[in-house]
Amino acid sequence: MSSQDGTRHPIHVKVDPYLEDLIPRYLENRRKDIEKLGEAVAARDFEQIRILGHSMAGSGGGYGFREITVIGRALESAAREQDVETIQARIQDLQEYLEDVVISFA
Amino acid sequence: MEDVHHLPPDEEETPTTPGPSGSDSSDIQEALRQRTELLLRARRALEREVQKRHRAETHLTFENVVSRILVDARSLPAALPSLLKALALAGRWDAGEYFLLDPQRNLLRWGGLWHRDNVPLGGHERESLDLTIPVGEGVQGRVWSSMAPVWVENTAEEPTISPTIVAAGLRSSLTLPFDGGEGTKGVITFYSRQPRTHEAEVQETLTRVLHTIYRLGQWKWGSPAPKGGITLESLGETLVKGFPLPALLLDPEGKIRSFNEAARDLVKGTQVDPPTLEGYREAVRAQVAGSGQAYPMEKLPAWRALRGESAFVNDLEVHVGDRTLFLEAYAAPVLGDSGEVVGALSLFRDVTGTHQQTLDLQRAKEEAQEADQAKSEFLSRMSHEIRTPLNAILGMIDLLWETNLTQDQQEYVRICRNAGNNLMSLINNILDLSRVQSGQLEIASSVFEVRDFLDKTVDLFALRAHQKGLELTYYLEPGVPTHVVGDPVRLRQILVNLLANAIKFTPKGHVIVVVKRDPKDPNPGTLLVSVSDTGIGIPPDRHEAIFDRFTQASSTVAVQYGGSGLGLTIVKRLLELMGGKIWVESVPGEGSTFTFRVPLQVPPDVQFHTEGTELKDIPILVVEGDAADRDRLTRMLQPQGADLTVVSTARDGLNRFRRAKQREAPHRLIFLGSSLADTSIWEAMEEFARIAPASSIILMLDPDQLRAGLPRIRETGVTNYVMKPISGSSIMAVSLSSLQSQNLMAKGPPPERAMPEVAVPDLKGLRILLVEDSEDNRFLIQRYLRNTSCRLDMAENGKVAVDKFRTSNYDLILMDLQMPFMDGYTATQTIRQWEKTHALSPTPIIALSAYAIKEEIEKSLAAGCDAHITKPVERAKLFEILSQYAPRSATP
Repeated sequence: MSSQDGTRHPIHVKVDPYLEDLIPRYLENRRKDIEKLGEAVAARDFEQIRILGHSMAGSGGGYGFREITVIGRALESAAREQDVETIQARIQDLQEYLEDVVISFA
Repeated sequence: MEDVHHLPPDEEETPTTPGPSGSDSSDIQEALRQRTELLLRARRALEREVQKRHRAETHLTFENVVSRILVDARSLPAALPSLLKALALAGRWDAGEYFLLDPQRNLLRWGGLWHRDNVPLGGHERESLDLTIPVGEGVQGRVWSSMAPVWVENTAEEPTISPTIVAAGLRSSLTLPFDGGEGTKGVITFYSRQPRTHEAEVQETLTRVLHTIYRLGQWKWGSPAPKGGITLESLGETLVKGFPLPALLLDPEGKIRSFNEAARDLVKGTQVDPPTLEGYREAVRAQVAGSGQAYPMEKLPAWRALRGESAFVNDLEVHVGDRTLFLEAYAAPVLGDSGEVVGALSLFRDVTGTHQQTLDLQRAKEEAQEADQAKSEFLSRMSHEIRTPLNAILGMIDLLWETNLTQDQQEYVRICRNAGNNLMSLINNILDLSRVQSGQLEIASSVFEVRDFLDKTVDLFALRAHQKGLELTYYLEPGVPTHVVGDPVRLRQILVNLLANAIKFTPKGHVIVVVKRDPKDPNPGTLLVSVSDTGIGIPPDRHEAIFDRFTQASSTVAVQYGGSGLGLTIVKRLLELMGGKIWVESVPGEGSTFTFRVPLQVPPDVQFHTEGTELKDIPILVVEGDAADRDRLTRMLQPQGADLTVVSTARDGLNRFRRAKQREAPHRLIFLGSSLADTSIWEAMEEFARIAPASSIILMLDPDQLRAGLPRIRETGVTNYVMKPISGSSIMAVSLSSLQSQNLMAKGPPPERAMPEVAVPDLKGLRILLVEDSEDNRFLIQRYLRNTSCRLDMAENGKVAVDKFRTSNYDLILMDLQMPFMDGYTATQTIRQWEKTHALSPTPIIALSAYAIKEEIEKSLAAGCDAHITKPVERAKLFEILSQYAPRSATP
């Protein structure tokens, strides 16, 4: 459930130090995904949303971001159902997650 | 069919759906009211149609079946067994028998019997073989002499009915006379296990059908029977005499030899009696129903009958004047003495009424579906609109709760929060239900562990049960698979609903979940899950209704306990989606047991829970002052193989434990009872906690004691307790969970928190081709493999992979399944094909897919993959699978 204004807290995620130098690029790609998702929603291009969700689902957990896998799966199924409300809510979740995530390498 | 899209009669009243925003609440209410009304109206119409249709179909089945049997049979006596069965089944009877008249001796002779498989009438059949009944005696004799049907409502009270009938549980009977001409007169009796009496419609239909037999008998086999079999002339004559259905008789050239009255009625208004079948077809402008195409000659049953086959069609549309009629047609060849076709008999049936009903029904159904769909969409949109502000309200209430409030204010906020949560769950339920109804909800399929599933689900209610002082436990019976394949999310939703109800409606006592294998189903994955409580129960007449929408056990329940009455409806629908079902047994005031049956699958290498080994050789200490409870515990623990020490005082128990500890075999579980002779349970608990791990101590308490002792329990760190009276399932559950947590503690903190140390395996220069369209995943796997000795090549889609494969050598391929240009399935198939044509040994291909969906796994294996792993791929998992495929030559 997305939190309300003012009640958001940092989300701490521990990432394998082994992957440290890959992380900035990975997160940058997800920020680009948000733009792509926004465009796809505007164009009602659900296939594009599905593919983006699918690829998030397949990669997030591998980098230590389980939440991204969860959001990706939700996007994928919402795209299949062409459920714009859910898609927008999940994009919002992703946005907030990327803003709030604090990474430590341990 | 094309002509079904009539406008609904009340089209102009159809409200327009208000937009999701900018509409005020009265608009919404009005729109919702109108939608509901529209839906109800459509539903009522549908129900009426279904009833009408059902009645019509019963008749139809009767007459169709009967006509076909009679037309096909060589003689009426030969047709009687089939007739008996057809009539009995159509009339929902459980058994039937018939008697034939012996006119010389003026008695009825038993002729034959039909019964459903589950009606034990074997003995009756043996006894009846030589049975005769004098005319005028017994039910059958009376029916024959009076020629009037007789109902017997209770067979046990009618002395002339055979005891074997009563013993077989056949409760009511209906006996009717029939007269099929010489040699085929008699009576027929139908039996039912349900009490039935004087059903006018049934009696009328049967009488009518039996009258048809008479007419047919007259016509087909009646006297004077033509010597040397049936001739066209004799048939034609009897036909014209009055066969009840429209009929035509054709000679081998297709000329119409005879028309009967009914057939003529059918074409009333046409000028001529056409001389041939073809002429008749044209005169009535026969078409394939709904298509506007002329009915092809070679498809007409009469035409086919002339070529020796019996045929039936139900799509004949004819036009007589400005009337359009829909007909069923049936035809059979008339065979000569040596089996040659000497003509054809074609029967028709006017089904225009039924046809119109079908169209109406279809329209009513479409309307209802449209309305339902509109309602679902509307609800789903509204729910979303409501949830957003409601979330904000609930969030604010939570914040408010954290501030300094007076006692009154706290109470107000608490009520506010409860109401808000109830509203939220109501909306979620409505949304779920509308999803199920509009078919948007799909049932997933994944492997999950049964015990873990139960643990986590039951655990959700531990606090609530504890607050009410209820014992909440589960029990897994032996024979239940350890793992099953199903939709754990939806199953959890089902169980959560049942548990929430059980706890809500149980003021004291216990709630127990029992999972067992369905003994009646050979599939080991078919489970019976029951949730039993000692709650207020449900009156018997509400056992079915509680599964309906917005229905509760009674209006008092609704007032007292609240709730929407949607939970069980969702449960029922979800189970239906999974191929399962749910039912309830309940005694008001004593409790309820909801049981559901769900057919799940089991994974290939499945294991089963077994009995009696779960506590094998585990040293257990029981310290309990109450002799009855000591016995009870012993009875429960001994069969599980436990190594038991049972004492009645704390001092004894502590001594035993110290000695065992010195021997380095301390008791793993310590059950502490509440009625100790020498000290209070709290002191005993604290003493034990000094020398034994807190997680090994299990308290057995009354609810009152628990409340009083909670601070002390918390302070000592004891977390395990069961409520008295103890039950086997609760004792097992708490024992296992205690052992589990001790094992976990022994192993150190759970691995989730710390990053797992992954040993880098020796991959011995394994040459790997990674096929993956996601750059992120290519980077990730490249990184995983950086410090290994393997050589990694990458391709971003199947096409590139196939090209690389053809020009290089690989020991292993990691193949993503969903990719642009060429997906993993095609690439795998192409590679396998290439290997075949070039006589290469197959390279192991591991499929990577985002979901562990059965179809995806099977599809990848079918395409030629050797194994399957689910993304996101963990390093350990990847290493594990790569190690299996590393060259085995150089063992360290």
